[in-house]
Amino acid sequence: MTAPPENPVPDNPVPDNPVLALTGAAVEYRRRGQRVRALDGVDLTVARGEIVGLVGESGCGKSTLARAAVGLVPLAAGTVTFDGQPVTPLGMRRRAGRLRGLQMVFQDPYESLNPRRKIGALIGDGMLLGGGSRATARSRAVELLERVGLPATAADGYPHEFSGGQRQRIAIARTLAAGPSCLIADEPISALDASAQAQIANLLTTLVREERIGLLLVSHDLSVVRQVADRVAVMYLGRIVETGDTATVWSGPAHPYTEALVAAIPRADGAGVLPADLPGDVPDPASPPSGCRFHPRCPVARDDCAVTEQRLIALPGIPVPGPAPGSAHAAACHVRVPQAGSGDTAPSGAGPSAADGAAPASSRPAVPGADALCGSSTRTSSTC
Amino acid sequence: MTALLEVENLTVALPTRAGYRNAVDDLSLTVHSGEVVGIAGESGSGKTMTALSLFGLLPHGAKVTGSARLDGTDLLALRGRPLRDVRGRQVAMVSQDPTAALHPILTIGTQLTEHMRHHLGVSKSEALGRAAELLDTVRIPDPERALRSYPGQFSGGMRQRIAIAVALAAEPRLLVADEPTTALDVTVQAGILQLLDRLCRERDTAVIVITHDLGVMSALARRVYVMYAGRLAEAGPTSRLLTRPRHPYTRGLLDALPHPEADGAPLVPIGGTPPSLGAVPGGCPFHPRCAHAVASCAAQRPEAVQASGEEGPHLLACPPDPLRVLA
Repeated sequence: MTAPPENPVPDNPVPDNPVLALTGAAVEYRRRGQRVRALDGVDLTVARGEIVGLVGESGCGKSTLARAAVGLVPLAAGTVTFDGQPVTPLGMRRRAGRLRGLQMVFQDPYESLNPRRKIGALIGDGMLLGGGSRATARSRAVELLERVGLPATAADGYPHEFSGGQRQRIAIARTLAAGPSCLIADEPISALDASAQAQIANLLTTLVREERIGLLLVSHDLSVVRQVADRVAVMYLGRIVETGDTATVWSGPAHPYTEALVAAIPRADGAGVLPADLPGDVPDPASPPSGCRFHPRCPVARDDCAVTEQRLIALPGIPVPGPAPGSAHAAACHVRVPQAGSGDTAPSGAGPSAADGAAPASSRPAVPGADALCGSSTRTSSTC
Repeated sequence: MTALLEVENLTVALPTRAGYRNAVDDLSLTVHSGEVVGIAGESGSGKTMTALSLFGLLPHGAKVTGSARLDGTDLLALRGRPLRDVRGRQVAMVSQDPTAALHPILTIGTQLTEHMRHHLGVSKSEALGRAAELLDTVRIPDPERALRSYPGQFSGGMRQRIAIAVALAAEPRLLVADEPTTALDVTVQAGILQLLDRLCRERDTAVIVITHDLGVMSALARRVYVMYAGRLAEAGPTSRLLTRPRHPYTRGLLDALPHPEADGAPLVPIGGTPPSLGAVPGGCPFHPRCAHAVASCAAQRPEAVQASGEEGPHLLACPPDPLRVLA
């Protein structure tokens, strides 16, 4: 099983200056004159060569975050910076050249490729925009196709000649043409077959490591995120409710929502165990629940959850070797992660809340190797 | 125990530019009452065509041979009125996309009672009462109000539960669920899986679940048929198939999954892509992608036979059987 010490952070040094940073980002839509906050005060960073997974149910604001990060929707508050420069929303004018290194891979390669243009031309456009000539665009397109594992002859084909997995490779090659330093991939593999999913996940991982590209991977498939992401952020109703190193979050989820997501994954082990259900749906963001937004569905909710707003609190007791503050394991749940006397002895407090004894899981901070706890909590939830 | 559904030598040929090609090739399977049976495979493996053939819903020009007997009645031979009497009443289908399965401008009540009244001949008020009960069974809150609502007023997970309720309205004996949870979140998926499991326990409904997700398969199905390029690759109890697969393709599907225990190790995809209908290779259709292929694989088309060394029924279409030592 997963032990905390084997934290894969060392071989992936996170530099201090992230390539993409969202600070207090909020996005509002208007619906029948009513303002709907789809994204509400989100902080998130992605460094070069790092894969950050963003997970949550549909309707929780993942895609809005992805679109805000590349400037496809304007922010209502907060900032998004790419390489230290603000990302300006896409308007009627051409996108600023300095943003060319920030690219997006879309979910459905059947929709995102123009069916009437040849693959070579689709990819070459990225080069032409960067000031290259047609001849170099063509040769670079072939080079990129080979980079993503397609034959050079693919450049003369049309999108319909390719399978879903191949199309997604083409879409990735097209973003590479812009020489990106950060990719935002919104569900890049959900529309693909099982074996193609693995191929594309591996391709993205290789590109990120070798070309030192930052990748924000948005997916509702936790098992894939778990396999490829260095860090993971869990979203619920426009807010990040838990963030941390992927292995840590997976083996010891602190937020009840993360726990429910993990327990809901069916495992292909032939044991015939039904995954645990999380009743209810994501509420309408137009009228979010008061206090902790998850409390109406939460199995461990207390009375005060309905009144107290939750913010991310770093988990004490878990060693944080990463140099960047973003690599800390934090969760927004005062039942599981007590605020420990509002800051007095917060960071170092050994067993800060054992006295509180609300739920067995509240003793988690005192036990870094959360294996046993995770196991027991999954078991209890799957029996109900 | 006699089987509820017995499919024998089902072959579905579809017209392509190069003539007819078999989308389903000589498939046999059985389903018992109250049993969940899975059909697994990638897109183009013939899973959906198998399902559609049971409902007479194959695309225009398709040629079907073989038989699919439900309690002795060959579903493939039915036309017109007798076919309509079977559809919905005996066999019902839940498709992948609940948005497409429900009529957008008819109320849930209308859609739930329509074939209940047609098939069971109950009065409108009785049908509405039963419909409310059904919605309660699939855990839709406030069923009375839901009956007067339209599909657009529900979320994706709730729509899929309603689609399942519609499929169950005339109490079919066999439910065919084609990728019932692929479009849904894991949390909602878990709810649907529990619902399907409960239905076949409580109502003795047989379920064929079609999915490429072996996790879903593991949770729900007792037996699994693995298809590749229209042919059966392997069939056996889920617990054996997912722990000790005998066919290299089943092994490949399993290896391509993110593993709950393996940390950060790269996924192991199956090389290449599934063949398109017009270009299924000769011999074993999987041999160009198979790491264990030997010369004879390209020459001879393997038949699914009882796998040696397995105690229960376990069919395998792989004569070299390279994974036997591991099994």
